[in-house]
Amino acid sequence: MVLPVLLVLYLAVAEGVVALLPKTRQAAVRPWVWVGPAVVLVLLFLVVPGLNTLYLSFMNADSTRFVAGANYAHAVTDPDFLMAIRNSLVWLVALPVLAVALGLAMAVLTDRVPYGAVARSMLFLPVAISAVAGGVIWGFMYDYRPPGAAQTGTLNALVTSFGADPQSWLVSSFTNNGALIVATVWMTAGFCMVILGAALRGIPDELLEAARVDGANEMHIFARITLPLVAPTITVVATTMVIVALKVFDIVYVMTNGNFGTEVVATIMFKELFSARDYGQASAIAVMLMAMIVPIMAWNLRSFRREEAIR
Amino acid sequence: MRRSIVSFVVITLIATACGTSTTTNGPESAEAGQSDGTAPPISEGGLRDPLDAALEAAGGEQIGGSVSMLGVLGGEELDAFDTVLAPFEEATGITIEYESSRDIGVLIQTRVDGGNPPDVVSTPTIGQLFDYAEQGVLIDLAEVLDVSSVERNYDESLMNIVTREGATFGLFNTVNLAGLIWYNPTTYTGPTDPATWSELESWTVETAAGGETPWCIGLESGAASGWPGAEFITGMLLRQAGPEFHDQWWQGEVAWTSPEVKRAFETYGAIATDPKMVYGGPEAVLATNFENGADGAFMDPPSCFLHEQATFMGGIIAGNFPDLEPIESVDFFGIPDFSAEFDDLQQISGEVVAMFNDTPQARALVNYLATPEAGALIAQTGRWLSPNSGVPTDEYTDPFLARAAEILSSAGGVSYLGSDLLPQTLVEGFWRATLDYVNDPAQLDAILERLEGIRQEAYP
Repeated sequence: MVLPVLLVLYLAVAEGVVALLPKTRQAAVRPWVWVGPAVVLVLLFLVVPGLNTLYLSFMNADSTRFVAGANYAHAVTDPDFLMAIRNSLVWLVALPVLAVALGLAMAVLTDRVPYGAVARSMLFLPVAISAVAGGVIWGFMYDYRPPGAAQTGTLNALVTSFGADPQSWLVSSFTNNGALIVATVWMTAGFCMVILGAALRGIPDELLEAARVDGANEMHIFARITLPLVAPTITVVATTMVIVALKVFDIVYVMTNGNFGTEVVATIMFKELFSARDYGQASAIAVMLMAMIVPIMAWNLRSFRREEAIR
Repeated sequence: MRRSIVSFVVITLIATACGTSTTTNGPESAEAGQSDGTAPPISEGGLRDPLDAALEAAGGEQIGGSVSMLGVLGGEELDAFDTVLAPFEEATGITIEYESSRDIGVLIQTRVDGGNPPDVVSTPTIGQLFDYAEQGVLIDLAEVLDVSSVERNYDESLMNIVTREGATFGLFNTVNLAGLIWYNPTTYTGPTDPATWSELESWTVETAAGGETPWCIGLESGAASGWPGAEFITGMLLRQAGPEFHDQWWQGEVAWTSPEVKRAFETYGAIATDPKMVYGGPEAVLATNFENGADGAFMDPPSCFLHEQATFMGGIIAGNFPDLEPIESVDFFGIPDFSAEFDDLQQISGEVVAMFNDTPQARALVNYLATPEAGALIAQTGRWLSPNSGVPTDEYTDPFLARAAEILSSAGGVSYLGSDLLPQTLVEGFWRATLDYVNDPAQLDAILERLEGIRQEAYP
């Protein structure tokens, strides 16, 4: 309530001041007047806390003593953190590949049927579900009962109907990380589908028709025309998924809480912060997580700009 | 500051529930049909209408407004607790916004660190409250409550637990008798009052050899997974190593790598990691939600027979199997003794109410919960014992609570469940250790060393 009023007041006053300046200077000053509030907000809510986190990461648990790199040294020797890094790498590869592949398939297929809009809406629905609710839903999907008992979990009911033994998907270290990733794919593939679908519709029909006239079959068209044309979009969507994978937290927290070898970087950070109350350690992990994400984000932005330029 | 609470007497008050004492209602009581004219043993003049008690707790005014409360109760347990809160809301016009999570320790931490603590918490994570009490974050309830009536109605040993640095940081809200072994009398053929653990063990081993699994266990509980096992292990530790060791252990004075702790883990592991001893083997133990942990014992045919959990499990079992009759088809006995040296020990756990924000509404709520009238409503839920000795004994109509009282009254000693008094990092470490151990028993030494590492950092 207060902020918009302040903002309007600020603009009114600043514009008044700008108007007093000589005409030639006005053009140079005005952009800064208008971008100013945004810069201040970004500084206040992103840069300052970021720098503060960096500072805290060199301090001890309650930020009273300088410990240099001890927090970083502790993290990289902590077996839990190393496991989290390993898992995050698995997420990093698996989530973008699966989500983009599935999203692309859904986009291409729904583009070709008359009820495509309805199908797309339904496939997009899981995106609207909060990760916690999604975690609960998939908890039911993966529910495990011992062999012989009635299987209440959807997946195990399916597996046992084929005569196989039920699996404890979330406990077994062979399946649990995959199970979490699949649940996340379910929640993100719809997003990929929508973005990729928009890119597909951006391909000129004349181009596709020309290809068909020249005798190309649908597979050729997809591989030689569609895919190269949506490649920049795929890059953007995939890097977005990489960032989702790196900062994944809620799904893991709700479904396994990092138990049985499913810890990821964000859950470790959460535990250091809220269970151990070790601000230094938690900040060090946050800084490392940020260091991993920033280059990918920069790349993402660059490819996004390149794509905009093409358009 | 940390005092031993090996024996205490609040229980004797609860315990008279199985006696024949009668209660009168005061002349102002709205309830009819209970008065018989004799003086009650504990409460003075019987109980008032809960609405009156609630209104008085709010200073006699309909002050309205709201109070945020953070707790662990959900589902039917929350419905039961709502019957305790309802008269308060009705009489005072105050809305209670109850928020619930089994992972309450983390939630409290998040809210406090975020500068947005709930007004009131009701939590079993007492070890965590110790920290907040020492930091002075919690309101001293001596300034909120009528101290003389609290001293009259609450046992000293219980009050000692919630006293730090001379301040009363909390007040017990509900009490459970922990370490009970639930069974189905219509299918269970083993000893129903085993004198020793080995007597029970020999039945379970025999049953396992006959191809049936004696135990049912479920450890899944969302982000708090593992806690039922940690409590069972704590129960073993108390009975194997004795109350003194148990107290030293939760106070951080002995190593987690000591043989006593290891033995308790191994005793638990003999059950929980052996597919012959527990239904579904470790996989099912880890994947089954604790609320379904006992289900196998009440199925037809049963898939297992014994399940360890505190008094509140009776309510959960009844919720899952509404057709069961207490005592007839659901019953329990206490975890038997391991040695003659430490015989007949019992453990209680509970929830402590503490105040983070000093608002009139929060004050009213805490004052209300401290009244015997609220305590009576807690007793009437049939799920929890009230720590308030002003609660007339005949309010315990639930046969399980009456039995729990019986066990407590004859106990050789009562300890508070140590796993709830540990610092928060150790609480969570202990939960995870339980899961890791069940998942891979060969790692026990490494798991205990890890816990020992946490211990060395966790105590001030």
